[in-house]
Amino acid sequence: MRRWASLLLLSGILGIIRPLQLAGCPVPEEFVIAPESLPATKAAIEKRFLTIVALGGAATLGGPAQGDAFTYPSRLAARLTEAVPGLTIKIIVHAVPREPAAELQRNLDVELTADMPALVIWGPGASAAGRGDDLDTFIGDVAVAVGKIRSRGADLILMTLQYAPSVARVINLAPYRLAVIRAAELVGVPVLDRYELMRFWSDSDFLDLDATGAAERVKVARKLYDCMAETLTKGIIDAVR
Amino acid sequence: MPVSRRTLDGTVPEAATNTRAVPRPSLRDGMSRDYRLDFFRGLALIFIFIDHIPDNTISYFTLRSFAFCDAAEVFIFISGYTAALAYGPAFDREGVRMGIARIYRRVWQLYVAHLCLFMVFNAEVAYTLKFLYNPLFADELQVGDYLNDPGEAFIRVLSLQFQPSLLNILPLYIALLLVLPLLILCIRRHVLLALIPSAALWLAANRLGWNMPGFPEGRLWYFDPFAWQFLFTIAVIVGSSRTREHVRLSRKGWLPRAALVFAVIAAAVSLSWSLHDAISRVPEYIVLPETWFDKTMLPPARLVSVLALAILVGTFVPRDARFLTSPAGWLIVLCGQNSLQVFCLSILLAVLANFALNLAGYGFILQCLVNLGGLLIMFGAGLLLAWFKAGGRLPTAPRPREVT
Repeated sequence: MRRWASLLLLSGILGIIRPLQLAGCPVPEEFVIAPESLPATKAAIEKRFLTIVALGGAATLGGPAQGDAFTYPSRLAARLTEAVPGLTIKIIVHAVPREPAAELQRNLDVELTADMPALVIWGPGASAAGRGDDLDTFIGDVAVAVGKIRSRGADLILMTLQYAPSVARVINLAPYRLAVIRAAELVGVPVLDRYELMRFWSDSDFLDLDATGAAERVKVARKLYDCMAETLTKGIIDAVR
Repeated sequence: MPVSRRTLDGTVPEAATNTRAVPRPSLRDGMSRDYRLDFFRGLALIFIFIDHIPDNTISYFTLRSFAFCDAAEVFIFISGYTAALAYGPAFDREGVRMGIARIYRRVWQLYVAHLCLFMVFNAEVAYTLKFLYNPLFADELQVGDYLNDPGEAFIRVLSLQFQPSLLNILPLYIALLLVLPLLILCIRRHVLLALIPSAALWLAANRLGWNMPGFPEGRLWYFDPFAWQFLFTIAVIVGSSRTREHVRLSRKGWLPRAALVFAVIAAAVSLSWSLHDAISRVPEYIVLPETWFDKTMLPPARLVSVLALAILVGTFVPRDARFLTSPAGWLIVLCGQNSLQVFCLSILLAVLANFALNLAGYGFILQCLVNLGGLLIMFGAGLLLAWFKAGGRLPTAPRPREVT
C-alpha cells in the first residue's frame, strides 16, 4: 500500500506549530552538509519558494510522533520558514514503509516530474537492514535512484538509517549506515549521518530511544524528529550561505 | 581438545607413515570408502557455517572468495555423488522398489530436519521480536511478519514454499532426492537418457526463468530446483559405478588442464572482488554482469567452477592423501560423514553467533572466537555422532584393516 502524504505548509500555519518547538538539540560539529553541495536549493531559497520531497519509509511518515505536525518533514518546513523569513515551503512526502530502494526508483520519474523539487531528502536502509539485503545490490540501487534525482536538477541529501540500541542488538544496522555513506561518496552527494547522530543522542542520554512507556515514546519521537529537522535546517542554511 | 589428541595418539606418527609396511587401500579397491568425499563435504559444512554468519570477516577466507561457486555447490555435488554410491548398488542388490524405499526414507529424514530447523527459526524470531518492539522502527522491519497468519505460514513450511533465511538448501536437497529414483533408473538404461533432459531443463530454467513458487506471494525458491538438478544429475552420473569404471582421469589429459586453467582464472577474478569488498580502496578491476553469478539459477560460471574443482580434486588429490586421516583432517571427515546433523547444528550455531556478535560488537578477535567456538562444537558433534555409530568407541583415523 502506497501512502501519499502531501503537506503544503505556508508560513501562515506556522502560528500553530511554533509553540510546540522544543529546546535546542546538541549536535556535534561534524554533522554538517558540505558547502556548495546544494545549488538548486540555494537558487530556490533566493526566489523564496522551496519545494522539498522527502523520500523514505516509516521514519519519514513519522507515525510514532502521532500527528502530522510532528513528523520530521513538517518540523523541517517549520524550522526552515522560521530561519528564512518570507520563504514559502512546499514539502511533499513520498514514503512507503519497507519499500526497497529498487522499487522506489521505479516510481521516481513520475513523482519528480510532478513535484519538481529543488531538494530531495532520502534516508534509505532500515528495511534493507531488516531484510538483510545484499549490501552491494543496495548500494547500487541507491546510486541509481540518486542518479535519477540528480538528472532532474534536484539537490539531494542522503541520510543514514535510524539507530536504536534495542534494534541494533538484534539487527546489524551498521553495515547499512556505511553503505549509504559509500553510495553518497560514489555519486558525490552530501550525507547526513542520522545513525551516528541518534547514537550520540542515545549514548549521551539526551534521548531514550528505547523508551517503553506509551506517552514517553511519543515524546521521544517528537523530540527526535524535531531535532532531525533542526540539524537539517542548520545544515541546509549553512550549505547555501 | 583432548579428543583430538587421542586421535593423534591413535594414528601412526608421520615419519612412519611413509614406510608403512601395510599398503593403504588402493584405487583398485572398489569397496573402500572414499574419504575425500567426507572431507570435502565436511569442509563445505564448515564454510556454510562461516558464510551464514552475517558480516563475518572470516568468510573472506572461504571458498566463495576463491571460486565462482561456493560451499552450496560443493555440498550438492558431493551429495549427488554419494547418493549414487549409496543407492545405486541398492537398486542392483535389493531391487528397484527397495532402492526407492531407501531413498524416500532419507527424504523423510531430511523433511523432519527441515521442520526442526523451522522451530529454531521460530525461536530466533520470537527472541528478536522482543527487542524490535520499538516504534521508531515499527513497520520498517519485517521480522516475524508470518506470525500475523501463522496458519498459512505453517502450511507453506510443510509444502516447502516458505523458506526463511538459512532454510533453503534442505528443500532443494529434498526435491532432488525425490526425483533420484527416476534419475538412477534412467542412468541404468543410458547415461544420456538422464543427462540430456536434465541439461535441457537447466537451460530452460536459465533462459525462461522457470522456478518453484515460494512464500510469501511472489517469492521463488532461493535454489531453483530446475536449475540445480543439473549439477546433482551430473554428480549422480559421475558417482554411479558404471560411469566410474569407464572414466579415469589422467593428470596429463586435457580435462584436468582445462579445469586447472578455469579454476585459476576464477580464483583470480573472485579474489579481486573479495579484495574490493574487504578493502573499499581496492578498485573493482573486473566488472561482469551479476546475472552470470546469480546463485538461484546456477548459471554456467558457477556450474563450471564447481565441476572444475571436482575434476581437480579427483585428479590431483589421491584417495589415500595423508591429510585426510591427519587429526585435523579426520575431524572434518567425521563432520562430513554426519552431514545432516552437523548441517542442522551449524544453522543453529550461525544464528547464535549472529546474536553474540550483535550483542558484543563485531571486533575482529571476537569474530575469530565465535567462529572457532562454532567449529569446535561442530567437530565435537561429528566426533560424538561417530562415537555413537561405532557403538561407543571413539573413532580413530582409518588404517587399511578398518576400511569398510
